[in-house]
Amino acid sequence: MNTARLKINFIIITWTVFLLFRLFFSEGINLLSFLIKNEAPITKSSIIVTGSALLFFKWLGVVAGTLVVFNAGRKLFLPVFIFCFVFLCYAIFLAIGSYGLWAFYFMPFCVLAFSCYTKAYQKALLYITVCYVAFYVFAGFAKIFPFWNALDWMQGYTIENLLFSRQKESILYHVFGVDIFSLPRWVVKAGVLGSVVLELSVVLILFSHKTVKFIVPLVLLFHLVLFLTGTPGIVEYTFGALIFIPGKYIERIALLLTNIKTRMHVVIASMRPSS
Amino acid sequence: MSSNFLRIAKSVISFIIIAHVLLYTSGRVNFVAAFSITCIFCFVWIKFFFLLQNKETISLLFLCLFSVQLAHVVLKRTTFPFSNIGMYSLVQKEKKEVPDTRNLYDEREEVVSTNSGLIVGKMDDNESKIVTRLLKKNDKKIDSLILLYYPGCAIK
Repeated sequence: MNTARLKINFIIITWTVFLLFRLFFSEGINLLSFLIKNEAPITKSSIIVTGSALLFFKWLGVVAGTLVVFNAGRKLFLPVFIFCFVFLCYAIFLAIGSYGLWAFYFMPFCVLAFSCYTKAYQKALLYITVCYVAFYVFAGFAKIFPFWNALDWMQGYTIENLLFSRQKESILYHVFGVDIFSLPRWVVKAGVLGSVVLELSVVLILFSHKTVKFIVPLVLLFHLVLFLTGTPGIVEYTFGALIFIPGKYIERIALLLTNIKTRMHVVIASMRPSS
Repeated sequence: MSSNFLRIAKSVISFIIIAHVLLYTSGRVNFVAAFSITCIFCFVWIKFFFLLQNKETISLLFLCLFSVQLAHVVLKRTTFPFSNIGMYSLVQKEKKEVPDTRNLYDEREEVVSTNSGLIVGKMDDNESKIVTRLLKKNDKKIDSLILLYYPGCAIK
């Protein structure tokens, strides 16, 4: 099996497992289902998103996701899994106005599903990378767009207000007792400017693969800082960085799994009574 | 690589100029930005679609899904899939007074739901986020149902 195909398999399995635990097994889906069944005014009377439909797609997604992980009927069940994923995310969007996981994983996951129908694995990986890059670059671009108003964002008040509103709940404050606002003001300002520059510089990944080595760790560091300052929701995008794991490591994992499988076959065979 | 870079740079500059002209004339930041970017993705998407060897029905399903997504962006004028697009509409130009947040507390007066659900550990992060955002709505019916779902808890 070639490395690109192995890598696509690896991404499908890890992302599916992650989404299963993050979304499908989340108690939040049961809560939403309970609220909708009891006619709470949260889904704007949507006729599609009902309490029973939520539970149905949750469990359908769990079954489809499990089959995808074990590569059983992946061509059929990966689209089913994606559909269930979109449905649950849409219900969450209607309820709380947040896209969450949908924003990042929908398009790369569709490319992964398409890749089941093609041998252009390298091309598929490229498109997934494009999705990753686009996500960050457009996030940075949006902050300085339109350009005549970019300075308003750079003032940093938006981020300062966000950090301040979540400070008491943040790990930095709760666990380490660090008060962000006791830090010099330029630190926050520099952080705001640095985050925009970093988001925009992710585009370099498309032009030179060498830049992955320092841009991706910086992006992960950026997520870690956000996590510590009380916005852990964004941490869910860090799993996207798995696409940059070098092929040699994935080959090693595949080899290890093959060895385990072979060893298990040997052990099972030795346990059978000889005739 | 350099010819590719130049080609992409030209496209990006054209996109920026066109988007700014459109913005200057129409003033609708979210709509223009989200629509333009989604169009670019449509192009990439369709290009990939034509690479497929077997264009089976299931692939068409994905194109339909993507069309639904596009329609969602255009009709609802939201910013999906780039939730930060049109961030300008969220920009705050001065320091604000932070309103008191409402959270869920258990019998021992310990907070159960926060935006940083992970630090509490009594709810998963997704659940905590949903509860926190729902409590922000200040709706009596939602509050009472949440309390019914989490017996023994109180909202403060």
